[in-house]
Amino acid sequence: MSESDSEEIEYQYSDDSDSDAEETAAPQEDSGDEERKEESKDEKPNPLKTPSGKHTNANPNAPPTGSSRFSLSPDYSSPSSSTEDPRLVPSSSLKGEMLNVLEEIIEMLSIPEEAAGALMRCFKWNKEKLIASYFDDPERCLQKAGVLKRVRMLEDRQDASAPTKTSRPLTPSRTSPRTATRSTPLPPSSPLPQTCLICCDDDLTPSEMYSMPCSHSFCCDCWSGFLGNKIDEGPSCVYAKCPQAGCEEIVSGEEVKAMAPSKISQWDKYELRSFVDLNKNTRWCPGTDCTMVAITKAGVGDVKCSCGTSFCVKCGEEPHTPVVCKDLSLWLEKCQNESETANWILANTKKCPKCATRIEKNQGCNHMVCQQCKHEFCWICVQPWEDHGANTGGYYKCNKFSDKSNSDDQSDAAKAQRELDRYLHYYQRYHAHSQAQKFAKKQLQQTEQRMVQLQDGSAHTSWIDVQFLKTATEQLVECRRVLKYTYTFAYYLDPSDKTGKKERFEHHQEMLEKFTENLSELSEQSLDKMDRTGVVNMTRVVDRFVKNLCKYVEDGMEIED
Amino acid sequence: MADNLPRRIVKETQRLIADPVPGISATPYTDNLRYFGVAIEGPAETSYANGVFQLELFLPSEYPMSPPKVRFLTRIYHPNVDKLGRICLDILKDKWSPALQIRTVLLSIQALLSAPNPDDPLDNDVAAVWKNDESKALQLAKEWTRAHAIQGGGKGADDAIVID
Ligand SMILES: [Zn+2]
Ligand SMILES: [Zn+2]
Ligand SMILES: [Zn+2]
Ligand SMILES: [Zn+2]
Ligand SMILES: [Zn+2]
Ligand SMILES: [Zn+2]
Repeated sequence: MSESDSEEIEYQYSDDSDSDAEETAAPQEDSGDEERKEESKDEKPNPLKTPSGKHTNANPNAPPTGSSRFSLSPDYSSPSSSTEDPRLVPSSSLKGEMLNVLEEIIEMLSIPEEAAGALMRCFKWNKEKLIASYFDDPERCLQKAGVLKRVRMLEDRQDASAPTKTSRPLTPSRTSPRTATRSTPLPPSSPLPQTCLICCDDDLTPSEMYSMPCSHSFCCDCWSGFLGNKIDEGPSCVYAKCPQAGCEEIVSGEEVKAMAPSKISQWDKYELRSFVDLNKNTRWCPGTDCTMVAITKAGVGDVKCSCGTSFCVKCGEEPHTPVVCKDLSLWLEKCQNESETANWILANTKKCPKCATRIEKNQGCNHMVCQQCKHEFCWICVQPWEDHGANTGGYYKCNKFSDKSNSDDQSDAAKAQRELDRYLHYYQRYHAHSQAQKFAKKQLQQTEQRMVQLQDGSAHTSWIDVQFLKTATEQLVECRRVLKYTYTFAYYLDPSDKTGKKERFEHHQEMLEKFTENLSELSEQSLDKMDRTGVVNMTRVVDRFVKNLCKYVEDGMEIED
Repeated sequence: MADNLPRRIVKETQRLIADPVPGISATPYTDNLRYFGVAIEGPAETSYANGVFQLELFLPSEYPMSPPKVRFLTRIYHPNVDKLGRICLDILKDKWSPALQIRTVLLSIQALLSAPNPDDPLDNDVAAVWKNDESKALQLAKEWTRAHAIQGGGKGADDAIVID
């Protein structure tokens, strides 16, 4: 709150100093295009605004002063948006979210809303990139996004006609942000019948024709068919270009509203979908059938959706501290690729590579003989045993799995096997905690029932008094999840690291393992033996430990103080 | 058939017949006015010179919102045409515009014969030859033209690509 207070004071000052000069100038603002837009936003000309276009104002989100509703991007200044990051919004408020982002661009570049939308899509909603590119070469930037004519035509029109006669192409008022009225096509210079290049009808009146700002005219029926066709093709419709061959001007909601009004809701849906999909600061909740969207300013963070799904806003996976998104994705891909190997290692049975009969390994020898088809193969690599002769280096190359110490062998096969062992070491533990996490989740569901029982057992306990058990079990789920990812994290630590980082990390990991097992044991006690104080204390200890470990990693794993 | 044929197709057809493009003929089949038999003469001073290449052109029901479907029936050695006669041409795909016409499509195909584009190949083998040994590619194209696209030079109609 104190922050916005000071902002307000700052603003108040500039108000006082600038108001005289600007206010007298306001009524004749017509000559300055850039100034005009502000006027349209409010009934009252805004006296505060420094010339727009490139406001280097350090604080574009400053709240309005007094009763004036003016601010450069009104919704950004609302306190609700700054409280949480990331935050979750229902898909019904996506449009407002999108318009908030667009308004800033509209103001800054003095362009119509449709152009701002296409530009942002072109730059994947990366505002900084767009602005950099725009100020580097506006012409090229607008061309690339397919809005050159849309923007230039607006400018020409503003230059040519009096503002009272020209309907403003954008009126970013808060109440109805999309009330932008589209200008009718330029009046025909001659009353001659016109030809539509799509349907070849050559007897059309000018009023039956329509064109985008690039002024390629087609008849309204063809426009309607063209737009309907594009929208039916799916989400890519937001990239549709003018029907004229070679014209790069992009279609917008303006044309859809005018020529295919029955499709506008579908168009809007695709537009919002593209807003979320392209934007690296937004993500759909991955929960089944969930339509919530996570929005982030920082671009990172974990959220818990009302549907119960928790996810990392950057990659959409389950929250995965201490592993970074990139390593997690590598890891998951590796697990996918190695899944057969890993499953075979984890299991004691394998399928005969020839007839698929399950074979159990119940002795140390790796030379397997299928009882069913008599196929002979190697347990480790599942290749035919006959390949394990002297010409392939003998079957010892397959014994490397158990012979972990033989690092003198620098053959590719030996290196690959050592690497696989290393992977399997981490994978086995990752897998174990993953299983334990699933178990803890189930336990959490049962806890509510246990809570009822515990409450019934003592006449004086309230629901609040037994809340500790639920908290403990939730903590347990969290511990298993973090532990699981510590093994992914450790796998990607440099094995040859000599700074001791790895050892220190493993020490933390081991402690967390220990505490987690303790908590697990305590909270799984039968109800009559439940040590409430013990559980509460251990929950607290473990909670702190998890946080410390994550912070330790975040801080680069330097020696703690 | 003709009663529900869009005005645009009728007009395009009339113009194709009344005012044909030099070196190109396109005639609709009487039993299906959306289906055209096309013949394109190989441009002079190319490996396809003196050849006449048969193609089929079909206007799908979405036409002109969707591009026409065109295919070579005569075998041709060209990096942008595959063994089935399919053509790699941007305006037949993502660059299609409903303001384009059969006429423009056929002109573009004719232009493709004059200027093969091995950098955007449909047949990788042919394109590789084209890039590594252009004179050999041109020679092969000439031989194929003589064998398949010149009357009396080839082994006859059996030679045409079979519609699968
Ligand atoms: Zn038309
Ligand atoms: Zn255009
Ligand atoms: Zn959700
Ligand atoms: Zn992530
Ligand atoms: Zn077998
Ligand atoms: Zn083996």
